[in-house]
Amino acid sequence: MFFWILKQILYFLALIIFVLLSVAFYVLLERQILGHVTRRQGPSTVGIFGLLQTIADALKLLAKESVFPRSINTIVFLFAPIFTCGLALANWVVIPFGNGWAIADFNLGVLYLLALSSLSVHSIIMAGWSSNSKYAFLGALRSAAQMISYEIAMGLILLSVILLSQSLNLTDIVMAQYNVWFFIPLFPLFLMFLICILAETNRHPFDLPEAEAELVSGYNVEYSAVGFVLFFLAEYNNIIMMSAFTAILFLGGWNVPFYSFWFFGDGILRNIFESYLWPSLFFSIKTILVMIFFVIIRTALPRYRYDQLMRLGWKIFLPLALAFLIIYLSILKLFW
Amino acid sequence: MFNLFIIIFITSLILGSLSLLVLMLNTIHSLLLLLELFIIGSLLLFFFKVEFLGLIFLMIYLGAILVLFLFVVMMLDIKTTAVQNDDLNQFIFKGLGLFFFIPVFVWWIFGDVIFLSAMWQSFVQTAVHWSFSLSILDFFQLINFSSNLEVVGWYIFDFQPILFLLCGVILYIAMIGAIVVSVDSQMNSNQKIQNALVQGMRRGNIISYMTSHVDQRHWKMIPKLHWSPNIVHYPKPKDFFWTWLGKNTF
Repeated sequence: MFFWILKQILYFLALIIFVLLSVAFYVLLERQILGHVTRRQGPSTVGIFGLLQTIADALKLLAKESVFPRSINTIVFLFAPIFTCGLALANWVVIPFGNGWAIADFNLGVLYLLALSSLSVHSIIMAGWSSNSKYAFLGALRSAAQMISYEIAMGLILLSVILLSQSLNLTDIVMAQYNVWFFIPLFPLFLMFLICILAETNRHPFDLPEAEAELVSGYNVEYSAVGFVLFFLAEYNNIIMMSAFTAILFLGGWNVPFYSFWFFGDGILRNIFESYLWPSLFFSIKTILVMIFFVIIRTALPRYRYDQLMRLGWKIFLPLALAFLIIYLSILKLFW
Repeated sequence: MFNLFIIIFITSLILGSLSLLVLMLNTIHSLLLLLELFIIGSLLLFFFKVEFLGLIFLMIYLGAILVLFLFVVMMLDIKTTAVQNDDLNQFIFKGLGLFFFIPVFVWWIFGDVIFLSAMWQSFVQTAVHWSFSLSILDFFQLINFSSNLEVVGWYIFDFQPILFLLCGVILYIAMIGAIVVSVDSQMNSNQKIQNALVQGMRRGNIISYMTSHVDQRHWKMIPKLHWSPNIVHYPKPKDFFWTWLGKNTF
């Protein structure tokens, strides 16, 4: 029992290293794409092709002085970024990277991810309230309301996926897509899910929490240095996690397209390709595609107004997701 | 023994944070303690292999209801209310916090003597028997041979469907009440109501003729000369006179 727990913790720590590295390179990728879309060069000085730019930025932020405003609520103020970052990292426990390659192959994985995302609302409220600033507080209320309202639509979309896969286990959901990936039968829901995860991770065009210029940046105004790094880390971590989640739910996870094309040879070579190399490679390719989608949306679209955002969440996505759920349910009941 | 230790540890944590929750002077702090309490409670449910209920607790109570509480409480101006720092109060809440940790200390010191004794064993057995055999079917027995999601679904849909539907009806009535209240207040106030369809089509095409009832500035009959955004100018007889003569004054 003890060694089992130790082994799981070691696995988790090893995973976290790669997750943090991928956050660093994702920030670099985002800045490069933004630069090239606006016909600039992007980061290019630190390291080869600017590869070390994010690490330099992180070092700069960590070396800065942490400023604590005078009348903050210290315990809650310090606890909020730690809580956010911890929750964002805890998501990776149930994500399977291949057949059986999850730290915990948990039976209720989808529910676990939903519960964690509903918990992360609290850290935003804590950060906004404890900074004792009106801008931070209003920003916290804004982003909390946004996250809650899009979570409901997201849950209803997930219900349709669960109807098709008949399981809440993420590995089972991927196995159910062996023949047809779910983005083909559930195409409208796939588009809605992409928009919902944009709103859920507070990204463009729904990035009212981080409207730096006009709304004074939202709940993390008062945070400097390490606190800010933790919030930033959690945000990008959530983006990568949501991309992986989309790849698992709709894009077939580690399933390989045109199955017979990729496999050749016999014996050990085929075994290596079939069970180790291609699955992880294709899973990461799908995840990176969704991550690039996040960035391209950021370059292309302007920001939503707040009431338009709420209208989209409550008056369009919620009824549509409910209608699609009922349609899929009746189709399954009638023809299956 | 390890399991029993964990159960006692978690329950004493729950009791301790519960007492702190009641005695906290700052309302937000007590709500944050409620957050902690629910997280620990769902851990306890995980430990009892009732993962589904634990996660549902997290989602519903923390994701929806506690956020609502926090919204309401944070809007109130709490800092102006007197925060008393009585010595007695401080003493009580620290004392109570310690009091609920006593079972843990007792376990650490006298654990082997007490919990291995036959009297304690029979006490636990009867307590478990009486607390869990009151229901018709033994929930914890069922979990061992089927997934707890199935057990919950079976309980709700096969065993008590009518009660489940009644719960839905009660929630529906509450929802209708909330909608009626908000719509009434919105009707009586003269605030501007956004209409995204009309606003998106402010071009003067045929659809905006049909959809816009307030702002009819694109109606061809309206003279443009003395136009102002807030006042609708209806055509006067002399306007029609000039059009009848064939001169387009508009």
